[in-house]
Amino acid sequence: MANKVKLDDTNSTRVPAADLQKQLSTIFQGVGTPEDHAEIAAKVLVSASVRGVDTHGVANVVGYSQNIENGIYTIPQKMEIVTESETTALISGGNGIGLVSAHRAMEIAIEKAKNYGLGMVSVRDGHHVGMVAYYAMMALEHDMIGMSMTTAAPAVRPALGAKSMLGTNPIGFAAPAGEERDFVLDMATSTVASGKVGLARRLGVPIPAGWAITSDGGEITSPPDAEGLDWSLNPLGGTREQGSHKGYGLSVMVDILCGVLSGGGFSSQLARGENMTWVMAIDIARFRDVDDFKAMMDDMIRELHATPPLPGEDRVLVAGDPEMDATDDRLANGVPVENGQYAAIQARAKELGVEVVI
Amino acid sequence: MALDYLKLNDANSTRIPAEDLHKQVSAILQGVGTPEEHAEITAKILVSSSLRGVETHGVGNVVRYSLSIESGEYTVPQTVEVITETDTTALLSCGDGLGFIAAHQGMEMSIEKARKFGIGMTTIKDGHHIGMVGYYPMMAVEQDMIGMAMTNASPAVRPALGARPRVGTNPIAFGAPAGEERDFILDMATSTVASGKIGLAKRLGVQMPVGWAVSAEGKPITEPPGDRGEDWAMNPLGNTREQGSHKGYGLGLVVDILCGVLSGGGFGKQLSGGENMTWTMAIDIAKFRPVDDFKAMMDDMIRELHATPTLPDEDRVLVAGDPEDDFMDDRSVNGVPVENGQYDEMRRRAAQLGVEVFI
Repeated sequence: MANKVKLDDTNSTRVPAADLQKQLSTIFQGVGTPEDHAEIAAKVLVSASVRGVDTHGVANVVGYSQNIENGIYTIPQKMEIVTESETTALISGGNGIGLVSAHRAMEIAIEKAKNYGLGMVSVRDGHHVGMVAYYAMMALEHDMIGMSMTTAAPAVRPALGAKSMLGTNPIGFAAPAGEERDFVLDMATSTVASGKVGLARRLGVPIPAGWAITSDGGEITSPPDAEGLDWSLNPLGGTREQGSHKGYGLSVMVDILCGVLSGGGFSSQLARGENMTWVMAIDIARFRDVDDFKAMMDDMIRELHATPPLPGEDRVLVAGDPEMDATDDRLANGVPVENGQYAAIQARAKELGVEVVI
Repeated sequence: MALDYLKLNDANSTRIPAEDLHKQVSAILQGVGTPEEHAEITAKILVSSSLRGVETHGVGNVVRYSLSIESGEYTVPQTVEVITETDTTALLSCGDGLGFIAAHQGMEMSIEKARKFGIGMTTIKDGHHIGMVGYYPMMAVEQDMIGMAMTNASPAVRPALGARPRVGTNPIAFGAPAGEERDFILDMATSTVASGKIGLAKRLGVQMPVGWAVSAEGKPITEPPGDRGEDWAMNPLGNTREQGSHKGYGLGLVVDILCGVLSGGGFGKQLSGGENMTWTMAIDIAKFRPVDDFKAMMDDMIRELHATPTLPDEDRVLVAGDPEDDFMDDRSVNGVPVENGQYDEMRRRAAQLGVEVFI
């Protein structure tokens, strides 16, 4: 099954996170990215790999660096504040690296939240932001709640609809705990992220009924070749009876906050690779004592962990647990990079004439 | 399918003009000592739910709210107290009174703060049931703002992979104004279905579809269960591990964090039945871009979605708020159908309290 696939010693190579950071940064710089932007982009990608979110991890440097080379991304990018108030900003990502403009947006949101309690930034003229929860997590070290969303070109059908009209439009949300691990939710508003279908395709395994349908409404269990016109991912909920209007509704909410509020465009106005983004920071101390907040978070997380599991399940998890398990392992033992991707990163570094660090 | 049994018709309900329902609900609430101003706000929200076809949160509930007031479970008259406040944020206490009143004030404050500083956010503790959570974002939409509201509740839903109820149905509502098209109004429980649907299936004696609820052993339940307990749980949106149950569960906890933990009022497991903490936010669109441009793009988006080819056997693709607006169009002209049992109950309650019977 596609969602049980694990990287292991036979299909991947372990690389220390610090080396991956250096390698990615040099590749970005090798195509003309300014050092500070290259460091940020590398940090976000390495963070995804460390957290086990391999679909949004280090291997993406190859595609991003090609986009820079062939002019799809404008480098060096000029990020511009279009409109601004005490708590809000609309910024242009300058059609550059999406990771860099989303990072800048969250820095602005945090700064505004420090001064006014809340900060919210919407980003237009943007590209792929990688693992969306990264930006929400930036709020944590400031004792803030963070939120982040990003919209994308169509891959998901509306409830009752038979054609892709919405992106997988993910939502990230992070809130700090005390002794327990922070709560970090990162979820596509489709039944599965599109990376899972791609993974099943590469591995040649079937996908479960409920993930995707044909334009005639037929179930698909053989992973389709690529995003096309003849099939769609299902919105979270899957069917009318099981609440497909909810995943669909959340996806439109993401489109409104990212695409319509910024003016950058909603999903069906976007070309593949274009992504508009929205972030928010909430200063907890404006509402109540931060230590009290964290203590209650700890209580909640402990109660949830103590829930008796369904038969056949080991334990009840809280959002962020699987990623922190991966982090604990990968920071100690190195980040496993799929062999094909490892070779591709090395080849890309050589091609650009930058040092091969991994 | 159970969902098709939910329609009210001439055989099982009576049509009543919305103004008469409003007067009746307000009179009953005043009959148990609610100040006129608070009774009017509560009546407005309950009637709005009934007009929008959300019967589970509609006028019929006035009977039990009035009983909660009489028995002292709700403190009336209540004092809504501002505990902490900044330019953009506020923490309120609902004063253990009617949840509607603090949620309404919370959204009014969010709107006022957003008008001055761009965003406003309030969180409310010591609260009770706030009815249809979608009402509060609609208050922001009227002011050319984006509105959001959430409310948490005592446990009814299991965590993903878990076998006991630990999270409320914790609904999320979001509203954004359109121009010529209808406004976008999303109002959704983070469970597969709202608990009212299970109650309705029980009253009607019909089976539930597989996927709505499970036993403590994890077996699907299709016979609508009775009272809440440790022996069954509703499923989070997504239902199974493979279909994304961790997503509905995760969203349920987002609601618990913003409503319960940020306010200090408590998360699901800390609440008893009838206790609800609430969160609201308003975003002033004009701080980002001209409102007319925003609305024109909303119209384009809504039209594109309506034009999507449908699955075989489906009539048309809807946008959040469409079904409720369809009800509203009918009911504001032809009267609001009230289930016969609830109609009798409301009249009896009015007579019992010695207030005028308007319906």
